Amino acid sequence: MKTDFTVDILARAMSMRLKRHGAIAGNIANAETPGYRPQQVAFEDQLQEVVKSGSTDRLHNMRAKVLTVDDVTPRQDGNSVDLDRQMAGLAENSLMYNAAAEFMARKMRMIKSVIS
Amino acid sequence: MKIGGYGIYGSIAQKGVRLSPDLEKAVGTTSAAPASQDFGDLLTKKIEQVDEMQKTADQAAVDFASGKSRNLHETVLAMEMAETSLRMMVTVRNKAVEAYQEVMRMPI
Amino acid sequence: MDLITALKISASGLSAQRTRINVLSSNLANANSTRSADGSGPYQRKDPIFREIRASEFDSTLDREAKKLAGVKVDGIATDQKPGMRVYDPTHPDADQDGYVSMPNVNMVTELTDIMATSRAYEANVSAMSAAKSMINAVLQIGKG
Repeated sequence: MKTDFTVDILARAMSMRLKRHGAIAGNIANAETPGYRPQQVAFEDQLQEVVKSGSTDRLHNMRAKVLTVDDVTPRQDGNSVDLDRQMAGLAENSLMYNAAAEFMARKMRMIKSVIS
Repeated sequence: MKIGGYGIYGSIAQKGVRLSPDLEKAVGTTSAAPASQDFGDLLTKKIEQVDEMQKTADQAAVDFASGKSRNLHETVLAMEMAETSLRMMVTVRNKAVEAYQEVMRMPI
Repeated sequence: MDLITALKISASGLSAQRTRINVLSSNLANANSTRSADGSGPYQRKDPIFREIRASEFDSTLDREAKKLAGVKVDGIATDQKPGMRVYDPTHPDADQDGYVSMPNVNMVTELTDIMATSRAYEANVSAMSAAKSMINAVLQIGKG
């Protein structure tokens, strides 16, 4: 069965957001570790390019980038995590992930309803 | 309610719910059927409209997933409309098949 | 990165914060212990040493970018060597020849503030775990209905 481009994009968006969740979970776990600087996962720009191009090859070749980005100026122990900012990111990311899962569920339902 | 169901969606737009240009194009206002138009043409047109809604919903979903659009309720609305119009078309298809089979069962 | 690995990262955070609470509680309990367990002087406050661990410890199949992500572990308990206050009390059993008693270097206010911060950090890790669980449930709904 040839997979639908939309489903592929949704699946890739979910993988990327999963990676982002891993980064946020790690930032939260290390919120008090001396010298730790928070990490971010960037993928939206690349994914939007892939959507515009409509090409599944470009989709397979895209990779998320992990960047180190300070939340606040590093404190005395070198840590620069802001717990509130991380928590906000956590909430938004899980919402977007769950929404993508929901859209995938609806697409599957539509495909199945024609087969029924 | 017209065949294909755009009567419902047209009236949603008329009640003053503001939709994005893409959605308005897909929903459209129901056009008066011209005097002579055979069933085949009508069916083809309706199938195309259902397909358009699918494409709109797909675009809305990928734009939301890639972060281009932050509009959750419009995305959900687009998907819901696509699903409902599809289901309606499937129901019409099923009824047509049933009717055909019933006719074929009739003794001459 | 899969959700199970993310859960392990959050679990490492919970574990580290739990260790910290235990150490801080021990500090508070010994705020007035003028003689340590080995008899060498007053109690000295302890601090857990947090260190980040690469996510590859939780999951060896991560790709190159995801390997940069990290969990946390406690790498040992450090003893705070700073001397505490000296109080004049010649009648105290642990008084030295000048009549001064060396008190532990525990400041109640600091310890309590740290306990509150630890509690908040613990809750944040709990939130991360809850988010991961809701994401797992959302995925399981995909084929249904």
